[in-house]
Amino acid sequence: MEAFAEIKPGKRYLTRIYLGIMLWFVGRAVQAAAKVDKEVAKEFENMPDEYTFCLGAFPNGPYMIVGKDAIGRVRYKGGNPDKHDIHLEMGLKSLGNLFTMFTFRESTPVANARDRLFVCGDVPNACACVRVLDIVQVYLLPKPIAKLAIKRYPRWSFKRHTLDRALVLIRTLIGF
Amino acid sequence: MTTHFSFLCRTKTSAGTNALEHLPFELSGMGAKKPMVIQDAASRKLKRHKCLIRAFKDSGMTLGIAPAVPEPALSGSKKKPEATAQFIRDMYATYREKGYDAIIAVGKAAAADMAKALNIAVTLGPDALKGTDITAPLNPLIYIPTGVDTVTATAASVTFNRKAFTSPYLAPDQAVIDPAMLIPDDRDSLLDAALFCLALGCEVHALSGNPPARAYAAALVELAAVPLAQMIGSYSESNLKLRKKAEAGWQKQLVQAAVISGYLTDGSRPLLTLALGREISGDSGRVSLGMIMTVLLPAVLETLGRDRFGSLLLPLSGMERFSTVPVSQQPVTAVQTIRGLLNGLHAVTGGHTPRTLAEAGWQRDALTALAADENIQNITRDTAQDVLKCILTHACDGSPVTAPLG
Amino acid sequence: MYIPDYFEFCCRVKIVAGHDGLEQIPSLLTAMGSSAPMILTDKGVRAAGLVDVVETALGGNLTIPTIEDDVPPDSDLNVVHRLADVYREKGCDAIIAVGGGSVLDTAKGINILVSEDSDNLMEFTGAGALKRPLRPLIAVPTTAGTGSEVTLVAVIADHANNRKMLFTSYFLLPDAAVVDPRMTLTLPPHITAATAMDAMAHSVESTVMMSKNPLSDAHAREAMTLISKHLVSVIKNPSDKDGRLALATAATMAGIAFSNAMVGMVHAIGHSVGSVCHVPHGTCMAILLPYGLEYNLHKAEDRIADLLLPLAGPEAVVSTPADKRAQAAIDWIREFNKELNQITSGRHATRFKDLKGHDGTPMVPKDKLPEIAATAMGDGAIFYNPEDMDYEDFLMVTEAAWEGVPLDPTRIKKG
Ligand SMILES: [Fe+2]
Repeated sequence: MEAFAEIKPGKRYLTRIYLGIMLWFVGRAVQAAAKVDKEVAKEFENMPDEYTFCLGAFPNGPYMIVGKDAIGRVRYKGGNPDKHDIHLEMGLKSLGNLFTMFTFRESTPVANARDRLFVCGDVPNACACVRVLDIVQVYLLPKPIAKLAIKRYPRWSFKRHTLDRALVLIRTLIGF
Repeated sequence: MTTHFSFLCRTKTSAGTNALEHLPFELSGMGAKKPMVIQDAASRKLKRHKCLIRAFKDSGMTLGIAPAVPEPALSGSKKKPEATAQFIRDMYATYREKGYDAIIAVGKAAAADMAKALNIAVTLGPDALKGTDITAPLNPLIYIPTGVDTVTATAASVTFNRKAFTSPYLAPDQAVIDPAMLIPDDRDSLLDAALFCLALGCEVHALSGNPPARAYAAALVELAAVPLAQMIGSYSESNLKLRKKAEAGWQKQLVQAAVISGYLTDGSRPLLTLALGREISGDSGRVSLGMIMTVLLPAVLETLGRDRFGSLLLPLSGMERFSTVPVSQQPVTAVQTIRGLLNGLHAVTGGHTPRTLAEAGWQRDALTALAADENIQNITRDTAQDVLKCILTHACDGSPVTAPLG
Repeated sequence: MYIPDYFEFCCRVKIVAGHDGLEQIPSLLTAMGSSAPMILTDKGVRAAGLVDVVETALGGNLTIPTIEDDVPPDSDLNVVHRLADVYREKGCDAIIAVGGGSVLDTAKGINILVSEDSDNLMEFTGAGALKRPLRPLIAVPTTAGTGSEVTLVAVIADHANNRKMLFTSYFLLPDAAVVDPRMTLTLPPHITAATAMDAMAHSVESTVMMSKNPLSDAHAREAMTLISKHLVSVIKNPSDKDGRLALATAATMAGIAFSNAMVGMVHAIGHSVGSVCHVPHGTCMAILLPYGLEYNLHKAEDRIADLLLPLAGPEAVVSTPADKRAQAAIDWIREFNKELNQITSGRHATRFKDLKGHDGTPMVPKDKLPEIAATAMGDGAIFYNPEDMDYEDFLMVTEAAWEGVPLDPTRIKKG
């Protein structure tokens, strides 16, 4: 007979690094889009000041935290939810689920339909955050990949697809 | 639908890709941090717990991997009762000493039943296994199947040391079906499971008049009927690679069916195909349980359902076919469909599977005697003797029940 | 049968239904070790005499320490705290919640406090804050519609801070739902119609959503079949007890289907019309249901086509070519609404324009439609809808439902 074994499963370091980078990128892109894109700016306007939301994996991250500061500017606030007052938490039920999503094998709506997502916080703002993330994905991703990530690819103006997209990308990279 | 009914299935079903990934979240929702993994011999040997360990990475939880459960375990408790009792004693001690707070059973019914018995011990104390009423939730219990089985792992009951326990709280809190955990089953096991699920689902759907039970049963019949028809259709497929691939697909679907079948065997409704089937297949030993249950099914439906089970044709043959059959012919067509499957199987196996109890080696006299047996009366919950006789004699020669009783 | 790549299904509530359903409560409580239940209800339910029916059915063997009916139409944090104190003072050990959504939400809130021995409900907000089973809770629904007796969320309003708190946990599910037709026997025809159409919307929407699965579909199909078979005859003959039982059972089954496969735009807009214009939920559902299907038609044609059988029966399937079945199912729902309108002497509305308040003024003035569309943008049900919706889409659908005309297919954006 085999012996009883007590095992502490380890961590997926490479996955965590990849997701950390992706979340950093998305977080900064939300900050950038809030400056460039009118629709994103409007969604944030409707949220209270200092409203902060977090996206990540249960139970130990990685996370990205985005929120408004005291004077209403939208900021990427890093990856540590313990340092902030979080009003809305959107989480994938496991690191693996988040990885599946950020490798575009499962879109956000599909992950949600498959019960892989959980939301803690008020629903209207959660809806707004999902719309913001959808817009940001359209900015960041090439059309064929973005189509996999969202329900309906939007019909944007030529300017929004080109100039605004370039601005969002530049602002994301240099972070202002 | 009847004028009163009740239904309870406490088990959450989760099935499909990456199902294991959700386990830490689910366990934490039940307040558990340190689950103990109980596996049957096949799963332990193939180290299925490694998939589990992978899924628990980054969860911060600790897993205890127990040795394989002694087999044959509880369901065939005639053998090795000491080994089983010893296993429970050992695991009980470890669970308590090391602070485990949940059980994950991996494997077939042997693992699930052992886990249920262990869960009684760790929640209510080891003395509870001598017999007690279970009236409140036990500690968290997750069941992860590794293949199909005709002993229902997800049923809300368990037998330990010849003591039968029945309580909704015995059923696993969750059944997690992840294709990554499956160990290929051979064709005969798949066939047996498909027939088992088909018979059980048809009987509940046709005879229970209980809408929630009918809903589960409809899903069960659909999940079983489609792979069954395909298995018969491609029985003589000689390309091994194609066959293995097809079998893997059927297994995925039939494991879901097998899990659901347990939800309908909680003892709250008499299931004649199952009760009689166990008795008959156990005695001959030659013919599998699922096979015997399906052979019994037409006679059970015709004797007890009379002409009121037409809606069974829908899950059995799908919307297109169902819609073309007049209401008055629906019951007959449903029975014909079931007989068609039996006859088709008989043909593709070169006559090796029975279409009737006579072909399974039973004599009419023996069956008549069986109908009058006291033990049978008990297990069929006092179904009238002439009803049993009607079912068994018609299943014996495969003749339709033209004049239903009462 | 559609088997998604991954699905979850769970209904941990014991369904006890029948003409003698209420009489089963004492033995249900005994089996859970309880003997002193608090009866929780609201003033409307009590005034309708339903609590008396429950009390009589429970018989003399059960002591009922208290009957509390001070539950507001939308559950309130202070009320929950106050009633939890009553529960403790009177030595209760279970709750029987007789009523609709708000009574049950209040009961769930009380049950958290008394089970966790806490005096601050805030500690348990959100998903997964509860880690262990609560005390016994039995739900007795009094409308055949909402399905709240099998849902795992509780919404409790904190009126002082003007916010709604959401609680989500399997531990919030009642231990049993007792479905007894005596609770719905006195519902007037137009309310019977509206509540049944709420259940219809739950079952229909659940089969069209992205999170549908074999078990939710089976529950939904059973519910649809029961409603389409019994609703008209119950409205024509309100004392039809078997029909009432079938409708009440269907409502619970539909509740099981939608609490697993969720609902979509019909509910998103419906909630919004309810909160902006105070239109009863079931009425919104009846009006909006065909539009929810029309809008999603290009994404879910097969799923909608499959509705034709449970709704209209086998003859309709045979006589309709496969590619016309989805449209036929939508048309059937419109016709069904018209029939309900006729047999309720016009009280079952088929468009928002026709709804009148007690004083005869329109309930949904046309200038409210933009506000309705904006509010719907914040409804979580939209997450599960097959096709996405923006403000323009919400407004377009709401306008069509106001006017009572089908959607213009050219105006549905297909990405
Ligand atoms: Fe509803």
